[in-house]
Amino acid sequence: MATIVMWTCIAFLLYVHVGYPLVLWAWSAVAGRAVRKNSWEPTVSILIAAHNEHDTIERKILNCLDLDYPLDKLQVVIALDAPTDGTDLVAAAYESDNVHVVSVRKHLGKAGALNRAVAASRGAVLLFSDARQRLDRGALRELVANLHDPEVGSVSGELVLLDDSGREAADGMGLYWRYEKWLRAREARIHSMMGATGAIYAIRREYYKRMQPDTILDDVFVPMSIVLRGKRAVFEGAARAFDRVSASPEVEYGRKVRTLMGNFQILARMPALMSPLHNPVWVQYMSHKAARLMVPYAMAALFVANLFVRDGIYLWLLAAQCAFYLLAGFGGVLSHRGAAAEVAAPVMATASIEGER
Amino acid sequence: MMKKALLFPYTFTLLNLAAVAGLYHFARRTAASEIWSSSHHVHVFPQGAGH
Repeated sequence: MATIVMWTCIAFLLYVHVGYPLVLWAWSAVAGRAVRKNSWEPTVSILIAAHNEHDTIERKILNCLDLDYPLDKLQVVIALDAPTDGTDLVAAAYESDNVHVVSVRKHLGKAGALNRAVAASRGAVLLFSDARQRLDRGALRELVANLHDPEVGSVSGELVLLDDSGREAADGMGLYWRYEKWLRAREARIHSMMGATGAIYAIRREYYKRMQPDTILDDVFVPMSIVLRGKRAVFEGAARAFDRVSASPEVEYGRKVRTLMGNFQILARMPALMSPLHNPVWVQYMSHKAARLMVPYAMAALFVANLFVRDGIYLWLLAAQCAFYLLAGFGGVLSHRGAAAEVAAPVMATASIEGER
Repeated sequence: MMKKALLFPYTFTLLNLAAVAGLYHFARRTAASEIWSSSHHVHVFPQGAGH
């Protein structure tokens, strides 16, 4: 029995981390579809939910107004989510034909604030962004070009993480981040990504589905609700937003917990994602998102089952698992001493992007 | 490079622990407002980016 459990877990873990990427690689090579991009200039509303963003909101507004896009077709909507630090005073100073401020007295959370922002917007295209990330000047044009394709309902840009010196932290992040980006690109080429980057994604207005105010991952809910309507959620690497990576892996851990809690919430609120009859990217969703939520339990089951089977190669497998967890503990000690934070934090941070996992 | 290789088990395990904690908070129905505020830890606007 223990042997069966072990091999089932091993097969599962291998599929999630090796088999699925191989399937994606072959699938995208055979059935990949390019987006029919075209230059056009629809009206655009940039939607920003802001709670306490006193230090960032002014620069964000100026950043949005400086984008390479005609101002007469651009609207910035700031949904103030009951700020207590004077964010409202800063934002109010910029109210104009291009900047609309929506005040929410009771703290709703991001999704609730975004609902209000959408209701107050007028653009044919909605660009969602956060207050703290800076958008590249040409990002909006790059996103909008993808939405010219009638099959595309949502397009995500790329969040670039910077270190303290302003360099791209992602360059030094190694295998994990490159692996994730590779998966997303292949998934988007076949049909759709399994979400978007909250810092920068755009949709056609008619596909916006109102969220419950306590929705944690708007950047998964909104694009996946569009995918369930049969439209594509694609990726545009030339549309970039910039953020700084947090210094502490433990802080990033908290962020990651939030993201993963949000993924469980999405599963509960969008059961159609679990149905191959309703979800056009069911295989990808189950393999990339749902299966990964099961990885820790498969690893735990593998370890426990291995304790009962310790002969031959199984002893080596047990030794390898013990070594892995000892190294993990050693890494934890290093991290707490600050020696490893500069490496571990970026990896954790990138894992939190786009509701990853 | 050596440090990164050493830290892979740590970050991988941390990610998996986060998945377990995420399920725990979801089952406990931790308020979204708590999650929203606790996620606000990076407030520095990046310098020297873009363009």
